[in-house]
Amino acid sequence: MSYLEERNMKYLYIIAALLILADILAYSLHLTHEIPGFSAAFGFVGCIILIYFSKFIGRFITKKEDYYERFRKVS
Amino acid sequence: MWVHPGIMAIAGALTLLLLRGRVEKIVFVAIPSFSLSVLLLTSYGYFGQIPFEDLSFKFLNFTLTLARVDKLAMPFAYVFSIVAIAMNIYALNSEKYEKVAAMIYFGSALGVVFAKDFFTFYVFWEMMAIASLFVIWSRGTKNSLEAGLRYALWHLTGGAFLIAGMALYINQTGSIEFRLFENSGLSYYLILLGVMVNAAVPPLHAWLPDAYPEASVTGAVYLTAFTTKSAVYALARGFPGEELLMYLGAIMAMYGVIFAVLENDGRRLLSYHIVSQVGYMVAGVGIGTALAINGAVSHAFTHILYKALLFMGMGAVIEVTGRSKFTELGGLYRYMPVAFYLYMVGAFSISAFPLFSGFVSKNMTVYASHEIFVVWLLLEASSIGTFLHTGLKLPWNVWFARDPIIEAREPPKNMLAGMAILAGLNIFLGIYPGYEMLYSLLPYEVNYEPYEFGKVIAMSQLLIFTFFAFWILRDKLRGEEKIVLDTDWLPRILGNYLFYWICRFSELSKNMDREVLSFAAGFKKISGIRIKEISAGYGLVITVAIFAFYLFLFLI
Repeated sequence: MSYLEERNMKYLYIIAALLILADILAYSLHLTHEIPGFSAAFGFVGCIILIYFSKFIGRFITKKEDYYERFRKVS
Repeated sequence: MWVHPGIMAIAGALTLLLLRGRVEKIVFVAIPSFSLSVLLLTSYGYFGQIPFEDLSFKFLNFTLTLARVDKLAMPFAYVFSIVAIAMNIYALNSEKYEKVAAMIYFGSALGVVFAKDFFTFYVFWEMMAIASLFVIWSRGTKNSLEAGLRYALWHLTGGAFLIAGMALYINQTGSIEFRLFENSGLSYYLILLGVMVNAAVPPLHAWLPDAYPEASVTGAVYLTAFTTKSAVYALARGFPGEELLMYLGAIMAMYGVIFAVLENDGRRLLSYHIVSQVGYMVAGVGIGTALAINGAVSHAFTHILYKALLFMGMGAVIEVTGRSKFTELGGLYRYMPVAFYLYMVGAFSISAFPLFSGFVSKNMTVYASHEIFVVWLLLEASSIGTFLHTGLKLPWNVWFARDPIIEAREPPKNMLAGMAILAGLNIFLGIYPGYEMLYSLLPYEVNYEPYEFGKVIAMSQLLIFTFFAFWILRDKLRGEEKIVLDTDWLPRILGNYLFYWICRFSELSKNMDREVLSFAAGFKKISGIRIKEISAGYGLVITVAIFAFYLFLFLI
């Protein structure tokens, strides 16, 4: 597990913080018109919603691997 | 006269049958290289100024034109040829018949892209379906044979819709040109439906995640490129600005993403992402502005490059371990780091990381959808899911997640070489989309600057925070030993029953036959007549003789 140790996670936190800072800076200089950090929040919340929503749907449509085999009458 | 690269590829595929050993391999790689060089010569104006038409001939009352070379056809033809070179290097040691089928598949895809009239289009379209069927079947397992059969049924149905629509359209307008269709009612929608089957638009997409993962390691790589993208070409040619496609495309992008969360098979997950990514293109075609069409075409271009790379990466894992389910894999980073890094180039490209190829193409489509909020929201949310699955879930489950439970090694050198070519192209196009490179190929003039400050910041934020969310919830994304039901549920169940009843019926009729015969035998015994029994071969001769007699009567 070399590439995702906590030690490396630190750099990701730094990059994320820098990106947010850059966004705020760009917004105050009128380079962008979106709310600063909008994409970050969208990504974070969207990802969580996506996983839970899909898992919810999955309750109805995931079946055991031999699902179609059980319907097979002619082999 | 223009040299048709598709027909040359099909001819080359047939010569492959006669060759073996080193010569076969050289010819195999030479086929797409040849078509790429023809295209380069065409771009430089060797055959005349683009757009031009060539290779026309009379057939019945119509003029067929095999070659319509213009700004919409060229990018597709280019990317088909480029990717086929890398694929052929990857598949250098695959079975001969798979190679032949794959090259016919490649050639007919080029034929579809350059076809101007319905007849040529339809012939190449069906040839593509049949050749890809043999690519699937060449794996030879029971699963692949059955999945191939279902695949064929979907495509033959789609082809039937297409030809019905074409016949009606010719009847209504008298024109056989495949061009921007005016809405002529039923014929318009039949053609649209036929093309939509190939573009894997839900609910007509189930053949894709069903059949692609059942092909062989190398065969699946071919399948990713041609069928769906030539359908995108057909949509961009015939139906730009069709509003229905815009919404269907956005739903499609989301649909693939949702199903990929549940998937346990590596290549099936990637297949759902083909559905999702083609959704972007379909939505782009549906929006229909110059920017959106450019976005769709450039996305098709880069998509072919990175999706083939992703399938190659996952294929490499299957090649060395023989397993494809997340529940049976894990911790492979120790054994195959090179394959992992090459795969990740594809994963970053599909997720549209800045400096990778997806960034310069996908965001163009998303940007073009800004004015229609629902479409924009669905496309943007699908970007999250794309990174979540191809960039995080799959590599995490395959290369990390736990200690290795199976031995592995790096794949053969030719496979790594094929992957390296595509990885290099993806990075190159990402860094330098350039007005001389990718953007110069697009059908309309490009007024889009991918590397604007705001766009880079926004995309990076989106992806990094997706990663954080994944990291928190990563245990939820482990594979489960389940399958996901899709829209082919009903046809599969009904088909099973139908087949069962057909078998029952034939059994019944056989029994009735036997009853009748024994009844007749009883009569024979009672009456005491001696009837000379004739053998089956003798009966055949008599039948042929009777038919010959009828034919003779008919002729005089």
